[in-house]
Amino acid sequence: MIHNGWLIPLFPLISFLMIVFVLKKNQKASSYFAIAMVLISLVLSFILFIEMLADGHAYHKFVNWLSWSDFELPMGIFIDPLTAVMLIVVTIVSSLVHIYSLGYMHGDPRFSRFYAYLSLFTFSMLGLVVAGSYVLILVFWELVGLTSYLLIGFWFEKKIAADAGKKAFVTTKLADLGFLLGLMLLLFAAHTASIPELNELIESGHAPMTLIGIAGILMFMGACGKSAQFPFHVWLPDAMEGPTPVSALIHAATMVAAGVYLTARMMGIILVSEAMATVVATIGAITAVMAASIGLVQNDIKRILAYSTVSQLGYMIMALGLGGYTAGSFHLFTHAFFKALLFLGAGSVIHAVHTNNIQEMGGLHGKMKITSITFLIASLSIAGIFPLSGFWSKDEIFAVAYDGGHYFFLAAGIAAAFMTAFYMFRLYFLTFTGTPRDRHAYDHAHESPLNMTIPLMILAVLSVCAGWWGIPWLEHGYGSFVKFGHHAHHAEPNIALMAGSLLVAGSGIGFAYLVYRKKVISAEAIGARFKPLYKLLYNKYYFDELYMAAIVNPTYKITEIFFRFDQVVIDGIVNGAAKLTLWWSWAKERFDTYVIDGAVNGAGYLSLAIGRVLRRTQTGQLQTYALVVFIGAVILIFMKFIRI
Amino acid sequence: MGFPILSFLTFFPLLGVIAVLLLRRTDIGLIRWTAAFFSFVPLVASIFLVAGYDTSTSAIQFIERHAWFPQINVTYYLGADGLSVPMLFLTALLSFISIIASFGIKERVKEYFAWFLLLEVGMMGVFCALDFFLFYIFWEIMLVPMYFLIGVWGGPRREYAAIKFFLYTLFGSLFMLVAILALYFTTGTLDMMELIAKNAMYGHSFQLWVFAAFFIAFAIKVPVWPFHTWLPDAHVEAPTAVSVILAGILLKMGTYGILRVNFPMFPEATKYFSIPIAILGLIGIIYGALVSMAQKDLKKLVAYSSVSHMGYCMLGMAAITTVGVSGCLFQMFSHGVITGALFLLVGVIYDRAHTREIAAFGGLGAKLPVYTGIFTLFGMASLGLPGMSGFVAEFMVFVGSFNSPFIERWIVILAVLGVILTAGYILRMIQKMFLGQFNTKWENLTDINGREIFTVFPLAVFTLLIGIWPNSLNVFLKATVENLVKIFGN
Repeated sequence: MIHNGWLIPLFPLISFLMIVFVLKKNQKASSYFAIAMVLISLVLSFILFIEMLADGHAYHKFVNWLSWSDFELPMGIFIDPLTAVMLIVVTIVSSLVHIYSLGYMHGDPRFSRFYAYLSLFTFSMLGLVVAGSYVLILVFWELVGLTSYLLIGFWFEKKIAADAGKKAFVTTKLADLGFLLGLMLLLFAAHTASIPELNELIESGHAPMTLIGIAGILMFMGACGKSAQFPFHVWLPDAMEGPTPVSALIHAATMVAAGVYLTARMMGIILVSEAMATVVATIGAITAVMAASIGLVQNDIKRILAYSTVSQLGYMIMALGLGGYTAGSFHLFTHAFFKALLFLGAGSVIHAVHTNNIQEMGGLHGKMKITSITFLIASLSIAGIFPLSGFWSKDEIFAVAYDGGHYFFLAAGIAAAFMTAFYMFRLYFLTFTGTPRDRHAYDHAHESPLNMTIPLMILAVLSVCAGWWGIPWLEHGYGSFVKFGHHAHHAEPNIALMAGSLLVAGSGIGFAYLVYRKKVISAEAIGARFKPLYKLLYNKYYFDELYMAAIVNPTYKITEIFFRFDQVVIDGIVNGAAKLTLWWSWAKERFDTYVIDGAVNGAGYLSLAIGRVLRRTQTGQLQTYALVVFIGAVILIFMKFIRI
Repeated sequence: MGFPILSFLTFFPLLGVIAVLLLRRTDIGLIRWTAAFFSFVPLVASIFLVAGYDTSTSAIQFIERHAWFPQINVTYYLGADGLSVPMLFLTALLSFISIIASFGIKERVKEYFAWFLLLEVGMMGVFCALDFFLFYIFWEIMLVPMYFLIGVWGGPRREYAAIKFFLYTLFGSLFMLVAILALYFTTGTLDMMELIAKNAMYGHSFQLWVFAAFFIAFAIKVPVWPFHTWLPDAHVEAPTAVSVILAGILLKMGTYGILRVNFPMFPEATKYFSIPIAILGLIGIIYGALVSMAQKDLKKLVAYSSVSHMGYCMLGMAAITTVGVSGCLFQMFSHGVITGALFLLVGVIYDRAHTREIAAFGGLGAKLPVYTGIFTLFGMASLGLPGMSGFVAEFMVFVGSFNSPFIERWIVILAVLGVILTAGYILRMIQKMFLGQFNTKWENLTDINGREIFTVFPLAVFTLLIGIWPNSLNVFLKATVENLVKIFGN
């Protein structure tokens, strides 16, 4: 299967085309066909994965896409252990979301279209993963962006959803300018965008490393957009306007992880210089802490999870920046399952109570046990509780920071971990425990149907066990499979660090327990005590307002100014030239009539007129003539003296 | 000497003009189908042309050459190469599509189709004439039908727009005439290929002046900023099908002319002017996009987007690298297809709603799902979404110009900003038209019909084909472009 890896994305594409052109009228057929196709991709991915486990060697194959005598742009696939892991993640989550949506989207008038979009997304995402050149990655990168846009705005009648889709597209596109520029620079400096060729080139050491490094950092900007890293994170929380299964698949588990995936792919480029790696790690750390802190005070269940996603992606990016190829990608792997679970669980809750506001929920555990228990498992996993998945992958990241002596980043990681545990359990307690705060919503709440709860249970199992693959004591674990360079990353298992991380997670949960379950500490009191900070966090550090004031509104202003300039100045010159020509011909016509022709006629008139005037002087009186002579003489003399 | 396919392509529509004129004014159906037939046959012929084109050589093919006015050394000289073959095909395709799209025309149908077919004669002629005398004739012939098509069948300000278009282009043509005469009196020939072969004998300042004269003539047609203001007026007033031709073919004659005449004939001047041309391209890209964003009229928005998109062509050609020039040619084809489709789609909604004011719509996605889907597809193509031709073209332009020894890199870096601005105005338009609350005023709108889908379908196919498999177009360009760039010896 490794050699035929390009087949894997094809099945969802077939599904997309079939639904759009053939099946769309039949909702059942559309959804079942889409599910069948994604399941085929899932099976093939597993086969590829098992082969790759046994083999472990990267494979690539390219075909001619564009070529000239002095420049070539081939396209192809590149499959290595990281690809294999990503294929598994994408197909598992996508399959489960496909099934879950049968229940969640039931009765939606655009049900078939939803499955068409899901298929298109899955195709693009799988394509992105198997792509063998950065150009091809960019191609699929934009396509997943498109499907994300379409799905965020799926309920486009809601203005807020349509706005969110546009915001997501434009923000990521802005970041993608970096990707594009980086790619241009890469093609200029290295004359190739093929991943295997580039890796070889860098390893050989005969490459213009400075230029390639700058290209890398520019491309990393694209990764920051897609993975919602600071300062491009603003689009992801808004993206929650999309249907919840979409949030789980695209905006939690897979597409937003594409930036992390790209960064991991560029590991060789990033590690070229210390400064560049530090930039990457710093962006990750800032994002992890900032997003977690915003998550502390939000009330929309999906937005809390969105900030959580941003924060966890920050973790991964930070790990990669610190050289933790294995740690970063491993966290991507485990995070996909528990975060997808959290979102699907949230979807199940929203499906039941028809609100996103956790302040209007409460006590739902009794009504929806499966959702509640699976949600609790995922919460424990993301908080980093032993022995769940999240514990192992988070610990890997701490180990990377600790072993490398990056104590600042370790501190950032720990701070974010504490906040994560707190906001997750704040969310859990407010939603599932205590007394219902909205009686009406509570009374109508019910557990979701099986096609929704079964995916929850499967993901719960994965949220517990997926991380076991990376237990540091394991002989042939994740670290010896997905590794950068030729030797496995072997962090010594550090018991003290593990205990510390458990302690942090535990205290976060404990704090949330005291505030929201036992209520011995009043949340309102804390909010009032730190009012400015609370406001700052509640308003998400005012990033949206900043962007509106600094970028969006000025751009609109500029467009108006340019348009006026175009009409008044440029077109003014054109029309002015025309007017001038018209005026010129008019003036010439007048000149002809009045001056040239006038001169002829005028000469006649003039002599008559002069004659008429002069006739009056001929009075025949001598005194008059003498007087005129005298006045004339006076004037002449006068003029002589004052020298006019 | 085989079948004179280029003459056939050029003059077959002329037979159509005569045929249409011979029909009775009231036989509207017959007139339509006659026009369709006389534009369909050249489309078939152009497919044979494409199939028969030898992609391995840059030599001129399908040559037809006959003495015409030997006294002044004028020949009837037609030929095609990688620059013209894709354009000839595009002309045939868009002409046929436009004629089908014109079936809704109700006034003075006979004259309309006669003028339209005459327009096709002029366009075909420009793309295959290799003698300046002939080239100039075709170039001017085109103006007349265009003038009447806008001036008679256009919108409320049609006369202003038609006169502006006519005079502006004519103004440019004068420069071209002077340049042609200058060449003629220097060399004694009007044969373009011969003039290219003799390019070593032009002095430096002669090159600069004649280059500039040709450039002004072509730049007005592209249109290069700041010569672009005739374009939005002409587009807004022109009937739908005429806009399609205007954006799809006429603009390309400008860039075609520069690549056919300016570049190979005056290589020294080309290098000299490469940075100014690139900067004009940059201004076009950014300025066009910004002005597009301010538009409230849908058609005007698409018109200004053409200014922006043609800026990519200018940037790509100014690079004078194989990738850059190919990018320019890709963009010419791609913009023809995509913008042609967008104008058709604007026409579809205008025919139903009798308004093009973007703000008047809203939420149409719920009512017109198919139309919305197709519009979104071409909107995405226009903003350069991968998988479609616009992306490939823009990517080639960027890569080609970034690697160019002739232009400064900051120009390219700034030009990349155009991508985000384009995304901005396209998404804004899509949102205002199709998303949000459905405006119940449009309760009675009907979705796009079969004939209209038929007109945009082939355009979608080419957009996707080139986007997914760019080599399908590149094989035709490659030899010619490599040969063209070789002159500049980089």
